[in-house]
This record gives sequence, structure tokens and C-alpha cells, in this order.
Amino acid sequence: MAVTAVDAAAPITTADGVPLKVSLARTERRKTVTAFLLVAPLLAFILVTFVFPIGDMLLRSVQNPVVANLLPRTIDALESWDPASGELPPEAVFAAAAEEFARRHDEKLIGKISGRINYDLSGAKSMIKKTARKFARGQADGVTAREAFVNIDKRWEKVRTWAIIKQAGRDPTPAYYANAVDRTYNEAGDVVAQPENRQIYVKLFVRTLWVSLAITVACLLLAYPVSYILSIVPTRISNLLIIMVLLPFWTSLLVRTTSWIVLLQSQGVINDLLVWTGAIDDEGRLSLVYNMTGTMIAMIQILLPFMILPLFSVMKTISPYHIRAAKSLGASPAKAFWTVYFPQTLPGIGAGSLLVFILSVGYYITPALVGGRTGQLISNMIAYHMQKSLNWGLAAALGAILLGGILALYWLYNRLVGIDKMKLG
Amino acid sequence: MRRLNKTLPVALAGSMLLAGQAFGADAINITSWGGAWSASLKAAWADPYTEETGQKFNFIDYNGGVAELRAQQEAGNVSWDIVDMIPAETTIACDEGLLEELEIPNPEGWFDTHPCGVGGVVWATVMAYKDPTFPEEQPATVADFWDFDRFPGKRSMRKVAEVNLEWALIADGVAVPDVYDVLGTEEGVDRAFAKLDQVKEQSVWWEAGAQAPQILVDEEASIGTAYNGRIYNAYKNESQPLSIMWDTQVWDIGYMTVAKGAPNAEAAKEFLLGAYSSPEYQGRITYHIAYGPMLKAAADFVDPEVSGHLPTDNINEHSVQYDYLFWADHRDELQERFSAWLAL
Repeated sequence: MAVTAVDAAAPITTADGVPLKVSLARTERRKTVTAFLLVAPLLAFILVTFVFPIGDMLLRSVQNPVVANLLPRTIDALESWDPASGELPPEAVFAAAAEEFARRHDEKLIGKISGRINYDLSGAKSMIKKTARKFARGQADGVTAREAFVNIDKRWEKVRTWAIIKQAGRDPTPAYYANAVDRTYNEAGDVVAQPENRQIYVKLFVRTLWVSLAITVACLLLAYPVSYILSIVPTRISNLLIIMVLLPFWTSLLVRTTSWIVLLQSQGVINDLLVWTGAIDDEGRLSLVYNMTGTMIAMIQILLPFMILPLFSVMKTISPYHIRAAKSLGASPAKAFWTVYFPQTLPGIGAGSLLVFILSVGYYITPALVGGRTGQLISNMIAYHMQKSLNWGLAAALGAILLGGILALYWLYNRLVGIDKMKLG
Repeated sequence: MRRLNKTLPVALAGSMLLAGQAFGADAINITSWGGAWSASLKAAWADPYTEETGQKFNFIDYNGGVAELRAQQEAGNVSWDIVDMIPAETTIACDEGLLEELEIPNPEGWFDTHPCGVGGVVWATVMAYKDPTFPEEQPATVADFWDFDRFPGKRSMRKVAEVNLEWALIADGVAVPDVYDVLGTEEGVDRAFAKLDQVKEQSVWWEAGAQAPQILVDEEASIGTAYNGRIYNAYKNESQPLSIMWDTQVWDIGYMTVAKGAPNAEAAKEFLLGAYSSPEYQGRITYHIAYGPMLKAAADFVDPEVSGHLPTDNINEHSVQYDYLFWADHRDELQERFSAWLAL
């Protein structure tokens, strides 16, 4: 393509007469498409396994379709009723509910409704199923629908029952988030604190945060000298040591957790050793497992490689001449370390800390097995609501709060340290 | 929106497929608890049936819960046929419309029936101890669990509200038939937690069934609660000197259910309502694990060696039948309160 003279009027063309601009754009486009096709599988993978599920979870934390869809007329009729008045809802509500309960019973959908309302009103499950069954079989007696309801169960006479059904009919709803921060609705439909003996989630969020921070700090303190030694010894030895770091990393998580039980329990290896050496007497065996201590010890050991590896890869690149130069210029070893060496390891510290912290926030198998009474974390409650109570809305709200908390900390970290300073290897 | 709603179940179901489950073409997929229990199912029920009819089975392990079944259903890709469930979860899954309804021919012949399940076995949560711990006087009643003067040492319990609250009330003097009535009231719950307060400082909590006998063997606790089959297994197969306090038993049921939309639903129903519900099949399980048959007529087919070690042999006026309907109603509230109590 030899264009020797540039004529301002005539556009530059390629050999086959196509304007250069068009030809260039075409090549560029082809390149973009190729590049996109190359990353497309990864993009699809991330979308399917990461973005959609998280989006789905966030949606579920506010979606509340069951009652609104299955009892539409009852919820409509409840619209004009104000629970704060202290009066029971009008007869129209009872009539609509009687008809819809009976229909949903025949369609075998009443279980879904009763299950949903039971999240907010303990005992509602059997009450609604019983009521619906009687209406469906024509066994409900009473001059009015309201009388029939009350004859079946006295709890239908309570304003609170209907206030909760009205609340449960809201879609989307903030109720799961309220629940996730230990709040509930009172009879007037206002958000109030749960009774003290049922407040648990906020406590566990705070505990999870502290435990994760403590684990991160402990991992850093333990990993720093190890990584330093790994980075200065000859490759032959450091390779061997790295394998020793990685070996537990490759072992099943469950095996490692149960091994800790064997080591730490009161008749376990460590206590036996302490008694044998006379450090403690047989009566005073230490409680090292089935409590917070056990959770911390096991999690620190399990997460340690995530701190060592980024630190090691950063320290490996720091030239030993820097320290020597500092010392030859008169710095004490401590000062040389603190002003020359340490700042250069910050990217590794950042990467390792972030990894360990985020992993420990979501850990649940280890706390479940060795946590005992005091070692429960918020992830155990999320697992409970996913698996056992099937209250996915609440599980999603708890998860969303956890996710929000981590993003906030990440933002803070970025403001203070700068994410571009992070180095993973 | 509809598509997005389906992605979580699809991801869950997909990850299970990736986990390497091989689903046979026409084999019935039985999802159960794994370990010694699934091996017993296979030996007592599945293998003989395969021999008789040629129907093959494929075992899948799970850890309880209804989440995976619901995920499969929401994704429109049900791969489980028979699911082994505890009654509380059978009820939840049945209410959610996740299970086929099963018509049992002779309901009065069983210890208990469920609209969505065929009775598998009767199992029990019991208190147990290691023999050498108490050489002179042995604990026998629920009240002994709370008696630290006569029976010193720590107490281990399962980390859930259910069963523990029942025992607390019985230890506090509530008569066995009234337990669930009392637990249904605010004062009853307060009373149960006040009683649990007395063991709180001396307690060890377990999560997985296998931990329970281990805690006793390792002397982490002197008296502990456990599933009776686990204790019997440790005693029989590992020669551990463990004893069960039968007067403390809270017995419960395992149900076999059929997932709605299951690929081999018809074959699964035929098996469950046919051969599986016969006294021979029901009794044969006792040769493999110490859980009692649900069918009363199966008593003639029980392994004579295990006789006396089954929950069904030890049901008396002290035994509590776990009330899964009560727990279906109150589990969320009581479990929340229990977690709060535990964490303090």
C-alpha cells in the first residue's frame, strides 16, 4: 500500500479501491469480533454461574408472590382495612378467604400459603390447613363467614393474624430484610424490634465480622515470617517447603476439620501432651474445641495458604540488595525492614488479607462442626434457612446483607489502600 | 424475569450433575443419607428386589433438607425418584407440592402413616453413656441427665431446638403425654429454656450424627444424646462400651417418598407400595441396621440378635413420639430462639 502523494480532495484508497478508512474499520471490527468470540465462553460461564444466581438471589430477597398470587381477592379486600383500628377486618374479607382457602385446598396449594404465613406467624401452618380443609369439605358452620372461621379456630379472632396475612400479601416486600435485622411487624403493621430472646441475626453479623477480622490478622502474623523464609532460602529448599504449605491445601476440608477435633478435644493429643508434661493437671484440661477457640484455630490453619501464597510471590520479587543498601547507608535492621522492605510487601498483604477475609466471612462447614455453642456464624443461619426451613427469601436477604457488607469493606479498602496496589502473584 | 428466576435452581441442579452422578437410564434413583444407612437399604431392599424383578437402583447421597428437591422442581429437571425423608421435611415438601401422594392399602397396619410417604423405619433420639464412666450407679431417666451431683461430667446434645426442648420439659416434671401441649404455650417454652440454662455451662453440641457416639467414646461428655442406630453400631461393630438409656427415647419415623415429576415415578410407586411394604422386606432391614420396621406385622421377620435393641422394642409410657406436626408449625420460631439462646 504505497500512497505517495496525499491529495486532500481524493480519499485514500487501498489497492482494491476501498477507502482506507472503511478498510481499517472493517479489519478493526473483525478483530473485535474475534476477541469477543474468544472471551465469549468465559463471559457465558461467569453470567451463568455468577451474575444470574446472584441477581436471582437479590430478587428473591424482595419477591413475595405466594400469598399475593394465591389469595388475590382476600388481599384486595384487606387493602381498605387498617389493622391499627384494632377492629377485625370486614365480613367481605372473611367471605373471600373462605372461598379462596377452599379452592386452594382442592388444588393442593394451601400448603404453600400456610408455609409462607408460618414464617411470620408461628403455628399458622396447621391452623390454615385445618381451616381450609373444613371449608373445602363443607364442615364449616356459622351464620357468617367470620363466625365459621372463629368456630374452627379462635386465633382467627385476633387482629394480629389478619395483620400478618395483609403484610404477607405485599409483593415486593421489605419483610425479609426486616427479619434479617431482627425486626418484625406489630399489630398496627409497623416495623418493631423482635422480642429480645429471638434477636440473633445482628449479633451473628457482628460476630462474623470480628471473627473474620481476627482470623485475617492472625493469618497475616503467622504467614509473614513463613513467606519471608520461603522467599530467601535456595529454590531447592523453598520448593520443598512450598509443597508442605500446599499439602494440607489439597486435603479434603472435612478431613482437616475432623483432624482438628482429634487434636484439640479434651482427651485429645494436645491436652494429653500438656498433662503428660505437667503443664496442666488432669482435672484442668483445656476446652479447645466445640467453642470459638476451636473455630478460630481450625479456620486459621485452613485459610493460611491463601495468605502465604500471595505474600510469597510478592516477597520473591523484592531484591535483597534493597535491604543491604539501606543498611550500608546506616539504617538499623529494624528501620531497614520497616521503611524499605515492608512497604514493598503491601500488595501481597492486601491480596492475602482480602482473600482470607472474604473466604472466612462465608465459611460454614468448619464452624458447624467445631463451633459448638459459641462458634456459630451467620453463614450457619443462611444454610439453615436454605436447607431446613426453606425460607429462601430470608436466606437471600441475609446473603444480600453479607454481600453488601463485603462490598462496602472492599470500597473502604480501595479508598484507603487502592485496589491497583493489590498483587495476587 | 421468568428465565432469571430459574437460574438459581438450574445452577444448583447443574452443579449436582457435575458432581459426577451417573443417572442410569431406567434405574430408580434413591436419594438417601449415605454411609451405613444407604448400604443397609441396598442390602435389605434394593438388591433382593433387583434379583426378583430385574429393576435396578441407583443410590444418591444427600444431607437432608428440601432445598435440592425444590431446586430440581423449579428448574423443571427432576432426577430423583425415591427420596428418604424425616417426617418434618416430608410434611414441608408435601405442602409445597414437591411429592406424589401415596395411597397406602392398609394404613392401620403401620405405626404411622403420611399422605406423601411410606414408612421406612422407626428410629429414635436417645441419651447414652460410656459404661466405665458410671461403674456404680447408671443414669436411666431424663432427670438423671440434669443431675450433675450423681452423674458428673459434661452433657452433649444435638445443636437444634427439637427434642432438647421436649426433654427439658420432662426433666422439669411435665408428664410425657402433655409435653407438646405445654411446649405450645409461651410459659412452656420459657420453662424449657430455663431448664436448658441449667446444663448450658456444661454442654457440648454436635451437628453431624457421627459426632455423637464419638464425643462419648472420647469422653468429651459423660452423657450425650445420639441416634440409637449410631450407638448400636459403635457398640456392635466397633466394640465400644456404650449403653442406651431407653426410657429417654424420642422416637421418629423415616419415610420413603416419591418426587413429583420423577422420571421413574411409576416404577418407584410399584416398588414402595408393593414389595417394600411387605413384612419380609420391612423386617429384613434389622439384619443390617438397628432401626425398627414401621410395619407392625414385620416383627416376625426381625433379626433375633438385634431384638431388644430396636426403638420399637422399647416403646413404653416414658417414650415420646416426636410430633412432626408441632415442629412443622413452630420450628422456625423455636429454632430462632434456640440459636439466640445458644449464642449468648
